Amino acid sequence: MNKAWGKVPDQATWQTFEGEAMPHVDRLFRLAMWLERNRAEAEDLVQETLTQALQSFHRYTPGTNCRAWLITILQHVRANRRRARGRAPVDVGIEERVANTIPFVPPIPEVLTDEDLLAALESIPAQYQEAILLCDVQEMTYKEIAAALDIPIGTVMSRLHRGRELLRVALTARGTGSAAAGEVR
Amino acid sequence: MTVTCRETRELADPFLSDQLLVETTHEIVKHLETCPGCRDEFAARRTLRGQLQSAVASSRDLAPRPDFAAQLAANLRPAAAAAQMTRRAWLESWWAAAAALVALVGGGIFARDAVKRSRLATLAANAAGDHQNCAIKFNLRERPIPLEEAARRYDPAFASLTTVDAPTGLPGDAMAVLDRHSCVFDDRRFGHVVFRYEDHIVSLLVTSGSTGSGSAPALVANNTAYRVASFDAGTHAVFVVSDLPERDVLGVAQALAASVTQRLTQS
Repeated sequence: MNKAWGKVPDQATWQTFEGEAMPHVDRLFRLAMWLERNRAEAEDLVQETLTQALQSFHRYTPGTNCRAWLITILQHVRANRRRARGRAPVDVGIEERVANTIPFVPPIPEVLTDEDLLAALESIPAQYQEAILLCDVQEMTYKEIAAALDIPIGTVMSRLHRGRELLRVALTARGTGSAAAGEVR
Repeated sequence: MTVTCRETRELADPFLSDQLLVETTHEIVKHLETCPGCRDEFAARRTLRGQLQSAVASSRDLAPRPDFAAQLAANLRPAAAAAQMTRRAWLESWWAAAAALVALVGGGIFARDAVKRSRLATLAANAAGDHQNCAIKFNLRERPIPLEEAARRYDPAFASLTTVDAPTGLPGDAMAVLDRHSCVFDDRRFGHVVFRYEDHIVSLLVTSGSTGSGSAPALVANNTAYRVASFDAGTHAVFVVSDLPERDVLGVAQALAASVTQRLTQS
C-alpha cells in the first residue's frame, strides 16, 4: 500500500491511465480474490499491480488489450511475492499425472447453479483454474495467457484442455449430487 | 479437408476462443452445419463458458468493496503520489498536526472527486465497449431487444428513444438512423440508437445513472480507437461514441443534446 514512487506520473498520463486501466479494477479484483482467497491480500495485489502499471504506462500500446496487459503485471507481481515469501512452487508434474487419469469426459449437466460451477472450478488444481479463468472469464487469447503466466503456448492449450475435462468431471459429480438431493426433497 | 466429429470436438475450445486459422474455422462451421451432435456439444460448451463468466462477475464473495476503486484512484493519482512521497518529511515537521488536519478536510473532497471520475471512466468504457461489440462487431452475449420491450421491462425512459431523429444541419453528408434497440454490455443496459454519418458508425447510448459531468456535452474519452462524448439528462447518462474525429463526435453530441434531454426528462 505504501510503495515508494520512483517517478510521479504527470496529470496527462494519469488521465489516460484512468480512462484505460481503471475501468478494469472490478475484474482485476475478482481475479485477485479468486487467486488469493483473502480480501486484504487481493486488495494489496491489485494496488501494487496498478501502481506498477501506472509507472510503466509508457510501455502500454494504446488500442491493445489493456486488461490482458494489467493481468500480466498482476501475475508477475504475484509470482514475485510468492517467491519472496518462499512459498512452494506449483506442482507441474501434476499435469502429466492428470493427463493419464481422465478415462471419460461426461456431458455437461443441463441444470447448474453458479454455486455449483464455482465450487467445481475451485475443486480442480490451481493451474487449471487459472488457465480457464484467464481464457473464459477474462477473454484473453492463448498468446496473452502464455505471456501472463510465462509459459509456452502449448502448455496453455494443454492446461485448458485438461482443465475443462476435469471441470466437466467435477460438474457431473456435483450435478448428480444436486439431482439426488432434489429427488429426496 | 473434411473434419470428423472427434477432430471437431478436439478443436471446440480453440474454436470458441476464436483461436483457429480461418480455414480450420471454416471446416468446423461446415461440419457443424450437418452434425446436430457436435452442434449440441458446442452449444453446451458455449453456455458453460457464459455461465462461468456470469458466475464470477456476479459473485458477492469475489466483489471488491464498493469504495475500493475510488480509494485506489485517490491513492494512485499524481497529487496523492507526490504527497505519499514526501510523507516522511511532513511527519518529521512540527507542522505535522496541521498538515494532518488539512489532509483530513481535503481528503473528503479528493475522494469524492475520485469517485465521480472513476464512475465516469467506467460508464464511458462501457459505452465504448457496447458500441464496439454491438454496433461494429455484433458480438454481444445477450440478444438486443426492441426499445419498447426494454421500456416495459427495465426503464420507461428507453421508449423516448424511439422518436429520436438524426440531427440535421451538421457539416458534410446527412446523418441517418440505422437501428434502434436496447442492449447489454458488461452487465449494463443501454438504449442504443445507431447512426451513419460520413461513412462512420455513430452510437447514441443512454443508460440510467449520472456521469457527474453536467448537462453540456463534453469529450470524456479519446483513445486510438474511439472518441466518447457525454452529458447528463435528468436521471440518465448519455454517450455519443464513434471513431470520427473528436470535433465531429462532440458536434453530434451537441446536435443531439437538446432533443434527447427533452425526451428523457419528460419520460
